[in-house]
Parts: sequence; structure tokens; C-alpha cells
Amino acid sequence: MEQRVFYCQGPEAHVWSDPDDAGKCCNGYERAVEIQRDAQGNAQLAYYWRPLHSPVVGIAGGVTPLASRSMPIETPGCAFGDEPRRGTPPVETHSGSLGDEPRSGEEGLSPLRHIAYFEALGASETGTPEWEATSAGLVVLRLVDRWVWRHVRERAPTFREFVTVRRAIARVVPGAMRAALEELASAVALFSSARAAPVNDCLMAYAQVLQDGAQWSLAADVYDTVLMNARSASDGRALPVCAVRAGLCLRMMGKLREADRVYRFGLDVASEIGDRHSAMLARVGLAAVAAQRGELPEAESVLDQVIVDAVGPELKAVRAAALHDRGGVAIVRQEYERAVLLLYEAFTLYQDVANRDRALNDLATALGSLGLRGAAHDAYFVIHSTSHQRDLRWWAGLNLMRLAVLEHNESEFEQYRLRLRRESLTGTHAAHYALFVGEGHARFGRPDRARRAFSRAAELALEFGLPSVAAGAMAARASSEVVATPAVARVVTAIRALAGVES
Amino acid sequence: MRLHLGRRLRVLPALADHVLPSTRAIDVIAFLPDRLLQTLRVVAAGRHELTTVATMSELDAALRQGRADCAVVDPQGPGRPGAERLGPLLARYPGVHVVVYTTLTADSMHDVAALGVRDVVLFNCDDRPTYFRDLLETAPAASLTDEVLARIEGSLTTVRPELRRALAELFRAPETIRSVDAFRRVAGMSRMTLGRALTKAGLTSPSGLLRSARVVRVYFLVRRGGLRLKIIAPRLGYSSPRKLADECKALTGLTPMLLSRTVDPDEFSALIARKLLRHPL
Repeated sequence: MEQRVFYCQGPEAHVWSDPDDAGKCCNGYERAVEIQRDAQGNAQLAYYWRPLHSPVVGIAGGVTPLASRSMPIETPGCAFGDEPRRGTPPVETHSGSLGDEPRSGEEGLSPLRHIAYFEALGASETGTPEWEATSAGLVVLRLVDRWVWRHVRERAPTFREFVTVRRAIARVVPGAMRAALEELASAVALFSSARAAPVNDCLMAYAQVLQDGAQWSLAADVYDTVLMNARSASDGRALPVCAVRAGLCLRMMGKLREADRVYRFGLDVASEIGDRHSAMLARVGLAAVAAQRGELPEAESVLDQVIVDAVGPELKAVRAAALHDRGGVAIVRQEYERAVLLLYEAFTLYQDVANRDRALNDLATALGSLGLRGAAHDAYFVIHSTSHQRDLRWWAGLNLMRLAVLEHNESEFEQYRLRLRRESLTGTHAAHYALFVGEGHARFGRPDRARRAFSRAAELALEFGLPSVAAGAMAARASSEVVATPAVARVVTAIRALAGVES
Repeated sequence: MRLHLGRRLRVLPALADHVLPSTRAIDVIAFLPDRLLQTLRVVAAGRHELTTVATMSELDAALRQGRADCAVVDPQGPGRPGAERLGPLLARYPGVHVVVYTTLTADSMHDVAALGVRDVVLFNCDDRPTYFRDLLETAPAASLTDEVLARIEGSLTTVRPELRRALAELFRAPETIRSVDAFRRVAGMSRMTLGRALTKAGLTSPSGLLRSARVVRVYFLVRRGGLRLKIIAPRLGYSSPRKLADECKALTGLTPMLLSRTVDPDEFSALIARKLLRHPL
């Protein structure tokens, strides 16, 4: 019988008689030999494979498949009722390197890599779970940077560096974040001397976890790293997906110009390599940017075209995304019935939970705007209780709080107010929280607290560039400054006592 | 059983650490707490001149002497000056390359972001002596590239931030961006958009930029470090020393050796800036 041979994947295609040997040769392992002695004391050589330059052994490969649909749509600006505020660009405190604005003089020329991480760490408290997760992320990303340039700089990461990284990861709370970081570190460790490794795939998985946690600037930074590191053909194929995801993060940070640029880049690359799915998603992203800028006719025409073009099961997710954003535009145009239908179709087409949650959230906003507050409440409640996306839970909580105000339900208002107060809300969430708390206090007869909340909302809205929230807060503050005369105040107190509400 | 034995001996990275020849000594000023200073002493031992300072006024005085190539500082170092006090002082000496060497704490991370420096080394994370030494030894190159970029500042202000960032990255680390394709990826643009953007800004072609960035690095390595072309060529992606020499001659009219001996850095940066501009003034 003819002996079968197996080739390794290395450039020299070494030949092996055992497929296991061929799998390990030139693939992150090196052949090592151990001298053993038999019972008579004769030396015998035992060959085995050991991971190259690192005794740290993790998960083999660590490849995380790319999600088929990776472009969640913008969450509405969470308010409904009299004036829906969809389209308010959420803003975060940190700036991602993808979206770095040119600074003056020298700073503009010398961006520190992963500055979003430094800023996030500088703004958080040492030792908190958030700090541990972000610092571990920074340490791992710096290791990846060194690994990427190992052949050029002739310096591969050492065992000590891997140990430092592992220690940092061990301090992260167990969960999706830690798992993603562990896979990333394992990929670098196992493939420390290989030419190619699934590091970019692991980076994408890590960025997705950050995105789910509404850490937009950090996610944008990681996507930027993926774009910078792309080398192989498989990396090239992932570029459009990465660009589309990065675009979403930038949009959520309110960096529309940068988002537009990244979407266009994604569209270029996708068209070049014939990736129709990503090209259409990039077009949807560009339309969403246009809608956020207020260019509604342009957004509508692009989205309508994508809805028409996205036919077939392989483009289901694209169609859902286009319908979702089209529904968002309908909300802005106050065409609530149409929005409900579009968003429901998007909701049913989406296959992944994250996007279904987002579509449901927008659907709730449309339903609430139509006056169907019960249905809206149910939808928000489901999201608030079950969604794994932090920002979505926050939006749902904020909306439930506002619903309670509109429904004159003080106990529910207090319940959500206290629950949200315990969260570390940032940027646009914090501004909306202050605004709705002010509205609640005003509704439930606490004018002093309402004024303080409106002032805080106005401050935050100005700081984070949310003009509609700022205007709403200032108008509400002005109206709350109508002071009842002592005689009228006594009547108000009496009526409140009748209603059984403590002042 | 292995059947094919014609495999090249692989050079382990641990050995490669010692392969690179030493460069000329760098003058380093250290403004660090004791714990960090110990590591820096190991990094600089026997190769580079290390001046330690313990106060802000001493740091100011040392920088004023004008001999330092590089300052390694910790904003949370002696007296905890922070970025608020350290930033303005360092800004007065733009010719000195600043490396922040610090620990991973909230205060220091805040200072790092506020200082806006490019090179940061984290204590116990990435302060392996070989990396650190590499960083110090390329510090004077950073000053040279800054000077070149400063000369084309007028054009850089007109380009989009991502292209500006890519250009800075190209000149600071030409060995990491080896092709026009890699360059356009860093800039996040298609080839056509990149070409148009450069033309609009009055800058030379992408391949011209790549050549210039590589020649700047060659000039630095030959002049400052006295390295041989056969060692430099593979690091910068040239297939042979001859190719390197040819490219240098085509761009500047001189061979690398002659260039490094006869042209001073000021003159050289002006020469490269002229090559970078499509229509030099």
C-alpha cells in the first residue's frame, strides 16, 4: 500500500507522514527533542511539538466567526410623546483614534495609539471592574501592536509579556469581555512566530463585545486597529465588515464626518472585492449618516433603493437594516403608522438578537408616538429586562421613566429613576436622564428638584452637543420657574394631600 | 516521521535581540520615580548617557542646556507635577523627543492623554529593555521626521485628518508601511481618492511619499547610527543594499554614505520637503 504524505501550511511545504505533525509544522509550533533513558540506561530521543517561544497555551486558533449581520441601527433619542427626538446623535466623552480631530500643531501629527483607552482610563477610577476591563484591553492591544510588527522590528513578545497580559486579563470580571480578551491573547501567544494568525478575527470579536457594552470609542479604536493591521487576503475580505461596524460606532459618538468617511471606505473596498452584502450595508450606513444630518430626502431615496435591491435570503439582513433605518426616518417625519409597519418588518427579518432588540426599541418609540403607550411600555420593558446591550437597556429604562411621567405613575417613575441613578450613564444618556428626571419632578410637584435637574440637563446637553435636549431643558426650566403665590401653594399642597401624595 | 530536512535554521527572536548593532549614544534626561529609574538605568547601561533630575527646575535646567536627544518623564514622578505643569515645560523644548514612562493608574493615564505624546511605555507591561532601547534610539529620528513634516505643514493643514495621520505614521515608522496599498489602508482611502487628495494638497504621489520616508530613515540610520546598508535594507523592505542606494541617489542625487557625510540635517530636511511638494515654493 502506498504511504500517504501530508504537507504543512508553511512556505516550504514540509512533508510529513502524520497529519497531526503536518498540522503543527510551521503553524505556531516547533519540533523539540527530549532525551530519555531506557531501563538499560541507553539514551533515546523523543520528538514532540512545543508552542513557539511561549509556554502559555490557550485556546487553539481562537477564531471567532464574523457575525453575518453586524450593523445595528441607531437607537432613537429615546423620547416619545409630544415630540419624538429620534436622530439625536449620542455622544460619548472619549474620542476614538478613528475619529481623531486634527489638533493644533504638533499634537495633530503625533497621535498616541489607542488614545481612546488612555482617555477612558483617565476618566475612570482605579480598581473598578470597568477599569480592570479597560486596562486589560489596553495591555492586550499594545501586545498585539508589538506582535504585528514583530518581523519588521525583529522583536517577538516574550514570555514575561504574556504573563503580564494574562494577569491583567485574570482581573477582569468573568464574562464575554474576559473571554474575548483571553482568546485574543491566546491567538497572539499560540501564533507568536507564525506569519499569519487569526488575531484580526479575535480583535473583531473583542470590538463587538465593546460595542454591545456601548463603549463606542473603545470599539472604534479596536476597529481602527483591525483596519491598520490588515495584511492577508482574508483580512482584506473582513475590511468592509469592519468599516461598517466602525461607522456605526462613530455615528453613535456623533462623529458623522468620520463615520461618512469610514462607510465610503467600506463601500470602496466592498465594491472592489465584490462583497455585495457589505457594500449595501455601507450604503445603508451612509443613508443613516445623511438622516442624522437632517438630509432626509437623500436618506430616503438611498434606503428605498436598497430595500428594492436587497432581494433573496442572503440579503435578508441588509433588507432588515434598510427597513429599520427607513422606519427611523419615518419617525422623524412623524409618519408613525408607516414607521410601525417598516420597523415591524425589520424586526421580523432580523436573525440576531442585538438587532432585533434595537428594532423593537424603535418600534416601541413609534407605537408610543402613535399614543399606544401600553404596547410601547411592554416593548420597552422586554428590552430593559432582557437586552444584553447596555446602551439599549439604558434607553429603554429612560423611556420607561418618561412613560411613567406621562402616565402620572410616580412610584414607577421613582423606581426607574433610582435604578438608572446607580448606572454610570455618560454623555447623551446622562443628559436625557437629567431632562426626564426634571420632567418627573415637575410633574409630581417638586419644582426645586426639577429646576436643579433641568440645569444639569442643560449643562450636559451643551457639553455633549445636544441642542434639542439643551433647548428642551432650558425651556422647561424657565416654565418651572413660575412660582406659585403662598396662597396658591397652600391649595396645591391640599390637593396633593387629597391625592395621597407626599410633597 | 519527518521526511524533508531541507529547512532553514530559524533565528529565534531571543537571539535576534542581540543581532542589531549598537548605535551612537543618546543623551537621555530622566525625570522618574526611583522604581522606574532602575529599569531605565538597565536600558541605558553602557550605551547611552543618562542624566537624572529630581525636580521640575532641574528638568528645566537640563533641557535648557540643549544637549538632550530625549526626555523620559513620568507626570506622576517626583513632586507629581501632572500634565498641567509638565506639559507647558516640555512644550518649550520642541527639539527634545518626549517619552512618557509611567505606571498604569487613572491619574497617569489622564496625564498621558493630556500630554498628547506619541511614545508611552507602561511600567511592568511593555518596558522590556530591548523595546525601550529601540524607542530611545529612534528618538532623534523622530525629531528629524518632525522637522521634515513641519516644513510641509502648509500642505498638511489642507488634507483630511486621516491622511495627515497616515503621513505622520509613514514618516515615523516607514518600516511598517511598505507599500502604497498599505499606505492607502492606513489613510482609509481608495487609491484614486488618495491620489486626488495628495494632488489637491500639492503633495507628491503616494509612491514618492513612500520613497522619501524611507530615505529619511536611511539618512538617519547611516548618519546617526553608522549602520551598514546591508543591515538597513531588509529592515526598510529593500530587496538589496544596491536598490536602497539607487533609490537614495535617484531622490537626492547622492549615495547614502555621501549624503550622510556632506548634508547636515537642516539642509537634508529642506531637500526632502522640496521633493514632497509637487510645486515647491
